[in-house]
Amino acid sequence: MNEERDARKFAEVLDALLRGEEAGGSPDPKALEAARLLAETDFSKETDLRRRLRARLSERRRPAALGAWWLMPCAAAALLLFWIARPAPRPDGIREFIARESGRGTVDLRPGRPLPRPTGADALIAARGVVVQGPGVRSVRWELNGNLFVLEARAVTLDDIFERPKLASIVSIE
Amino acid sequence: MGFDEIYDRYFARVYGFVRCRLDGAEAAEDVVSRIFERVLDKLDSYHPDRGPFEAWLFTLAGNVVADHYRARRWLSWLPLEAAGDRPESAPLIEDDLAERERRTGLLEALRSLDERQREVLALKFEARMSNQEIAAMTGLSESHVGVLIYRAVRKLKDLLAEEKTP
Repeated sequence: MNEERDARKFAEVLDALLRGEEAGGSPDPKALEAARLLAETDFSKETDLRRRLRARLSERRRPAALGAWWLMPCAAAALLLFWIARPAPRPDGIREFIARESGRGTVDLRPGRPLPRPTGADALIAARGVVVQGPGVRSVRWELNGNLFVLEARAVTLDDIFERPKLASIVSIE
Repeated sequence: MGFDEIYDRYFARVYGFVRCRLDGAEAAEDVVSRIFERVLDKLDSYHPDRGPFEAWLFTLAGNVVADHYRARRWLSWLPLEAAGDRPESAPLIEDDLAERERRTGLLEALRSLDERQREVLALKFEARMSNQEIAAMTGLSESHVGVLIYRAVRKLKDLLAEEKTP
């Protein structure tokens, strides 16, 4: 019973000591001195763990901090992919293409009309269309980059496509 | 409070808390390292409305010490070499000789206390908990905690006096 009472009194004095206040009236003054010694001793001074552990934990935390920086290249890569995968623009028609390359707003592509000269150094065009009207044939001759292309529209018979064997040819083979 | 501030403010007390309960600086270093690693991992899970930070920190520290005790019980079945028994780390050069002797004497005295007494002393002197808080944490009554601390400190006093006696 006495021990419990002393313990209660000691607890009050000890709490005051740990709060940094004046501690008096201990039932066991020498025990209070031992408590003071224990309270004032810094055990961490026996090791340099504080420095080593701080360095190790900083290393551990660094990748997390760098994670934010890694987001930037990731975002850049995502934007690049988005740009690559964007829908392709509708290709120009020949009229728009020539108009753009020649630097004019509109181009008259009717046969026989002079085409505008290209202004770009590597412009693809330089086309001149001439309609040729003949018996059973209607063609347009295009000149592109100095080469001549002919587009013809005419009625085609089987003889134009297939060769018919002739009797004279057979006889000559025999 | 950021991790750096926590580390600076509580390192010495956490180390003392562990050292009061464990024999050997190497073991204490391992446990203290694990405690701060866990604090770093779990700091986001701490919410002030659930209680004071110190209670959270020293509860976590107590759990790591308990893990260490459990592991040590298993390791006690193994030979010393396998258990990784290592020598004490060298003291810091800047450490004052008189202080070192005082600390060594205290550690020797603490070794002679039982596990429960060392636990309540660590909670009282390093975690700076009230007897009521210690009672809540350990499941003992407040008066029992008071008596345990009183007995432990008196035994410490006797052991320190014995050490001084040639």
